[in-house]
Amino acid sequence: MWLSNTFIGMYVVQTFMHSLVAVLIIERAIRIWGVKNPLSRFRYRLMTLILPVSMFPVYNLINMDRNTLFFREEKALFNINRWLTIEIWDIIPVSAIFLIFLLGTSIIFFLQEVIPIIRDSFSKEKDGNHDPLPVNAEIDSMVEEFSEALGIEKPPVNIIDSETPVILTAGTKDHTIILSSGLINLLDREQLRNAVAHEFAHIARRSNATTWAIFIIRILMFFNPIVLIVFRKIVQDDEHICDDITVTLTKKPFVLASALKVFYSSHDELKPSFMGRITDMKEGIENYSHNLLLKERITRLEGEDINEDKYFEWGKFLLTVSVIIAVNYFVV
Amino acid sequence: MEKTKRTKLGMYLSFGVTILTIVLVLKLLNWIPSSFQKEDIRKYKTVEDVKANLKGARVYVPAYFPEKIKWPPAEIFAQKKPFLLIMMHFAHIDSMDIALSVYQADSKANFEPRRDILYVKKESSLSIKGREGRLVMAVCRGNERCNSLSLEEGRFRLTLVADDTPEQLIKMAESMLHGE
Repeated sequence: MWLSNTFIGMYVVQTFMHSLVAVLIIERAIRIWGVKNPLSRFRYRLMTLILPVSMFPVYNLINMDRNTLFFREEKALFNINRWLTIEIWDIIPVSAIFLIFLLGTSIIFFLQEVIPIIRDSFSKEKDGNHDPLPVNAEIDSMVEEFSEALGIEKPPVNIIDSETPVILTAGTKDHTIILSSGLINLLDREQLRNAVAHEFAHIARRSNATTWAIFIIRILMFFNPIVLIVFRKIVQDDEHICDDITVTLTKKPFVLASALKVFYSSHDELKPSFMGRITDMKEGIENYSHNLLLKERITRLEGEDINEDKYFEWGKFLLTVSVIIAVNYFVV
Repeated sequence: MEKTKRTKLGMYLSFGVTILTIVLVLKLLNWIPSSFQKEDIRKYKTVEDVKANLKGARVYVPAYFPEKIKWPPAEIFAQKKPFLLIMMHFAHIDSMDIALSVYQADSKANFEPRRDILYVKKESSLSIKGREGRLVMAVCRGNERCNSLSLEEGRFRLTLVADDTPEQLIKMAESMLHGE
């Protein structure tokens, strides 16, 4: 049986189990230790990706006998092969169900992450470079102000002629802030200042480079449904971190919240009818999750519980990581 | 101050309980398949238990043992699925170290007993009671002798691995087989 006999099969199965154990311990630890600061949560959740991707080969280097029958039967806490060898009513192998489950996750990964990237890069090539609109003095002074405040080089700003409200930071090393004329028209000066400050937070944190690095782990575990969820949570944490940096720069959480409301999509969310096209449903789900994240950020900014537990408690973090490593060693 | 201490203790206790719960759930999930699945790999106490569970399949056990090997087997594992496999480990008479391992596996299963061979000294083919066999003289991790003898018997491949001489291995293999 491929899943239990080959190195890749064992890697796939054990990585899934290790991330399941890791996510359970980490999410519970976040609650128990009272980790509220998004940066701390980000560090904890990152372990849900980093540990499982590397654990299996490291464990095998430490103990070559870890995948033997003796270890599995005598020492392991959990041996997934016991489940994978089961055949329901003697005809349906559990391993086949498990494979279909992983295949489903891989298809979602492909549709959700790979196709948009390919489509995006093709459309960029096709569209070519449009001439950007001139940057007005007001935006220029904002850029100047935040560059100085965060001690980073002043990034170029591209204003694109589009009615859709857009603001983003492009580039992983040399950053460019891209703004749409539609957004400039929609936001008042203070809202725009907060939106620009948020992009500066991403530049200061090197969010794009970090997200790409995390995305590589995501690619390595494309079959893993837990990674799919955790990756989104990490991106969400990154947004919270940047919101917090923005608030320290502008001191106006409510203004940032009001600016975010502009991005709150008015599109149809989840369509109740399954008669609609798959693409409509996919768009509906994407809008729904996009709005959910915005709603959460707005609620958080309008509440009073931001910037708590500023000091990262390394002791508790290391204890949590050590426990995950120890428990997963016995999960084969 | 006292309250903070108590809260901290509560946190660690709660974390400990969480880990304990996860460990217990894993143990339970590990046990569930074996409670209704009688065909996957299990540990057995006696050779008779294996025979009773693997109805119809012949269990090969040497009738001859060198004096230093202790009877009965120290460990017995067997499975019906995905392929038939029986493993027996015999301990030294004066220690708990494994002196002999006997593997009986379905020849179609591509099962190879795991050994940490440092180097092979000699490999040769031989005939044991009319069956084609292969003798491998090797040194394993810890500079220990780990000679092995494999042979095809009906639908099974029998393998003996022992810290013993080739002559003793051949004698033990012969005692497992019927015929001349």
